[in-house]
Amino acid sequence: MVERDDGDARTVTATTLERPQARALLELDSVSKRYESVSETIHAVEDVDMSVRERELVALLGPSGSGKTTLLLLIAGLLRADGGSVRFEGRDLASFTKSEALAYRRTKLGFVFQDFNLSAGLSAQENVCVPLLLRGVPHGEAHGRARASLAQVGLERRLTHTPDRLSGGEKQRVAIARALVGEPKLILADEATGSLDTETGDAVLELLAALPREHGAAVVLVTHDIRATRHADRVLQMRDGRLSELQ
Amino acid sequence: MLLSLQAISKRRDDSATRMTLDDVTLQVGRGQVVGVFGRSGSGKTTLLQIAAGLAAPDSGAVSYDGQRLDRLSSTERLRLRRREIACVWGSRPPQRGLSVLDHVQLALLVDHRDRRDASRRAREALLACEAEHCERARLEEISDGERQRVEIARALTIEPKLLLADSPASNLSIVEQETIMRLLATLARDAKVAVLITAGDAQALIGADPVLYLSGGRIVDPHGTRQGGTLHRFPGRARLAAADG
Repeated sequence: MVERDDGDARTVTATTLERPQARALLELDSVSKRYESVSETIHAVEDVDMSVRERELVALLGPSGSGKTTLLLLIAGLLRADGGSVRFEGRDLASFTKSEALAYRRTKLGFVFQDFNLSAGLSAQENVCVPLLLRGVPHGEAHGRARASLAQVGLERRLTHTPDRLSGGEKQRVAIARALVGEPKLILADEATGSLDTETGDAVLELLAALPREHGAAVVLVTHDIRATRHADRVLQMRDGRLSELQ
Repeated sequence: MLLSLQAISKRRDDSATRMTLDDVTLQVGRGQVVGVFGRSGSGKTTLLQIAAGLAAPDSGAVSYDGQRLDRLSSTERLRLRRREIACVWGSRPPQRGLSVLDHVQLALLVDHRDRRDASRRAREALLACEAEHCERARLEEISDGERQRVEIARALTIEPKLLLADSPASNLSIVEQETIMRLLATLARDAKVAVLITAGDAQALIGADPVLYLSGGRIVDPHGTRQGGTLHRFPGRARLAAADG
């Protein structure tokens, strides 16, 4: 095993990032992604090994520009790696057809964004329905599941509220309910507390932390909020495109 | 007139005396494209929100198709926005993760329309807006000009009677602005849609008639008005009109 002293973190191989006793849901093997412009090449993600087990909560810390969001886009299949492989349930994302990649995102993944990413003209319940309707789930079933999902995040009394009538914390709860409603295997949360005050952010973190236990979903929590580490099974750190595990 | 705003006033949220809109009157008929321009903060977005039934005026009357919009329940106003009044909000960021086709058909799916019919109508609207080539792209992948055409396509899917467009051509090139206005003019002419469109500058309202100038919450006579030190030029085909003109 190769180790490199890196201040407060160690750069480690996949062998240590992976826990062999549990099944890996997501596996990244020597993944690299670079952006090229006329004047320079930026190595956004460089030789990253990583795995996420079922029902695991992984916090991914790092400053702005460290490559966290690029890594998330690679996991979501929204970017293609220049090198290495991203496998989900054993399948290489690079082998997916366009429709398979779309089905992967719609059925296996849930997304939570910093700015909530809600549709302004739709009620909370309709926003939560969206991923189901796009999958062809009948309206009655979609609305029932959306109602149940909103109840799980404590918003059963906000079903008909549009986003402009919800607080920041409530909007993020709607976004979490929407991420949950399709019963995904993996939830990708990108700076989910970034727009919230401390108290509201703590409540949202608690909600996200409960997802593996209560809904069986693994969570990758991308953040620069150190409070997230309290809830995480493992804490990874991105720095200059490289990944390390915090001890 | 399909839409009629009579003596609309709206105070600023943070002030008892300062007005966002002050005694604004305008009308839009079917087949007509009415343009309103004014600088940032002049009240354009509030004007459209009131016309859409998303905000209530402090005084004045809003009539849509012969009924007082400001007296309808929120459910009735929502129903109108789902079926008859389409809105295009230029400043809203695109919803990430959705394909263009998903985005365009979403309003129909949420309104309990058949999925196959929704897809068909979305594709037809994209074709009409010259955006069919980006059907499978994600919203965040397409250009600003394409996105505005996609937003108009989304509005078209409900076959609206009234289209409210809030600065859809801002930050676009002149060529793209002309494309947007040509689309809206065709829509108004062929489908008899009433269009109320805003812009930061009159030059983005080519083909609108009349073009109204909103300044400090009031519709004012723009003759002699200077913006940025340059006398404003108005499009040749546009006729300037005061609110009651």
